[in-house]
Amino acid sequence: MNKKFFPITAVVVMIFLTSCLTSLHNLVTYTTVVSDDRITGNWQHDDLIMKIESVPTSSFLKKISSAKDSGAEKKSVYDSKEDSLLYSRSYIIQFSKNNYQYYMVCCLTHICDDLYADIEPLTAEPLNKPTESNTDDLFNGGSYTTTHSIAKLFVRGNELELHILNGDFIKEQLKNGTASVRYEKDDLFATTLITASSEELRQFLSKYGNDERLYSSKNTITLKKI
Amino acid sequence: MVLGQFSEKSKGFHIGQHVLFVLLSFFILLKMFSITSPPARVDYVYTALFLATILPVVYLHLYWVLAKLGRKKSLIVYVIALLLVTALFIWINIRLFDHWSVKLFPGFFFISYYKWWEVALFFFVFICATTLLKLSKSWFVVNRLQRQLLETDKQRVQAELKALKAQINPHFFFNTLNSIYSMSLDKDERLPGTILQLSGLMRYFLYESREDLVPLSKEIHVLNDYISLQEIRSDEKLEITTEMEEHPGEQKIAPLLLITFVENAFKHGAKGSTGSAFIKIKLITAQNTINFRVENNKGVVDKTGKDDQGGLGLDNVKRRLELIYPQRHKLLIENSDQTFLVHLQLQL
Repeated sequence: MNKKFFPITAVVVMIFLTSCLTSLHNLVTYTTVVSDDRITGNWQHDDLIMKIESVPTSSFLKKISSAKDSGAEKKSVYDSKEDSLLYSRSYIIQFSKNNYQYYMVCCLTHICDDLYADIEPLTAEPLNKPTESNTDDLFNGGSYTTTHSIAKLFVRGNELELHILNGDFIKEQLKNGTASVRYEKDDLFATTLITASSEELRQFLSKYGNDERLYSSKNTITLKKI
Repeated sequence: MVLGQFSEKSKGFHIGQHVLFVLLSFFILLKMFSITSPPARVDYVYTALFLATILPVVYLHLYWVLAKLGRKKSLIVYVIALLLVTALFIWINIRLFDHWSVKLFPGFFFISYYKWWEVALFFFVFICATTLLKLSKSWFVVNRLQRQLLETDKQRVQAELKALKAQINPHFFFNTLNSIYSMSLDKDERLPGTILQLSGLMRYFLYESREDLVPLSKEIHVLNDYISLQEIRSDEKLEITTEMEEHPGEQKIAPLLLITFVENAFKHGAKGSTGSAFIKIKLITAQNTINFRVENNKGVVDKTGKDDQGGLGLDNVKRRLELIYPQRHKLLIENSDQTFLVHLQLQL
């Protein structure tokens, strides 16, 4: 289980080499989700090409729908009515790296007039035929819980800025006893998982979302539209 | 002692109680609010802020809303005032945790974990608990004052009884000494024995009657001595009939109660009578009750007017009965043209 847990929580870290904050609960719920199609399209960060699509019109949804029709067992993004409401207004982020096709779901919300994104890893499929070291689906199978990364978004013309919450700073505050946020610490893997509820996360960002200390230039990623 | 004023010591104790209440509240809330064990620094700040919004409500309620408006017996005004105060501080609590604490404590990161109605519930619990504490404290104060009043009243009654006893003794001795004086003038040979009897009575009056209660047998013995003494100085026209139990048991009675009635009978019956006179004395005891009856015929003195000392003994004994045996005695006095009857029923 822990072998699976690590890559799932660290997708954003792996991709952007940032120290992001991982949360057990989604920042965005079906009652607070918003759509902003300015983030859709193809984006580039260094040599990474990223495609963002609305979930209902995404190629990912078409693929899993056709897979369902053919009787193949695939994980559905719609597990419940609430999920349906949430994900129908969300976005799929897909990109290729290290011979894998990564899929992530991105839910947007407004907090105090700012746009925030909750990014959750969805699946990772091998680009080529599976081998011994290259399994069918990196995230599928086994018992694991996906975690969420949170970022503040700015869309400025052809640029999309992701100000990812600085995990190191938050962890430092928790260690010093100056932050009161529910969390779990795994000493074995030296990971800290925020366990605050969606409402508490929203309340926290409502209060401290504009505090510059929560972000850092190291955790800021700028994507250019192509 | 002046009621309502605090001495320095009780003032210190009063402040100590409040300090203890604040500390106890702080540690109970700290235990509830801490998300880590042991509590982190932020938990102390969080608890202090939360308590800072509770305490004004608690003290405003105790010393203004309850103290001032509660006395006016207007429940609606009291409830409205309490709701307004509570609502104000709920608002302050929410603003403090959601906004003001960002600037007040820039080094700490926390949010309010409670919705407005949950904050209201905290306030409600604290208001109820402190009101009960206040009421129980008031109960102790009232209880203490009642005990003080009872003690004061007891002291007053004792002082009054002491004064009444002091009035009885000279009243009796003046009369008896007058009788002895008459006997000495007559050179009566019974005088030495009479003086011995008087000596015994004086011992009883001066020493033994200082007790609150004396054995009933002793009181009867003294009563018999007194009657004997009176018989000696009375002429043959006086017919004295006594019927009293010799061994009434271990019961006790207030000293010098019964003798006053007998003395009154001798004075107003025998002394004032010009013809044949009689005095009938009867004492019956039954368990904790005694029935005492004294009847005498009236002399010319009583028919012509009441002397200034005649009513004093009877008034004294009435007052003593009220003080010593409240609700436990019945005194019936029948004052007809010919006879004077006293009937006392006493629950010992």
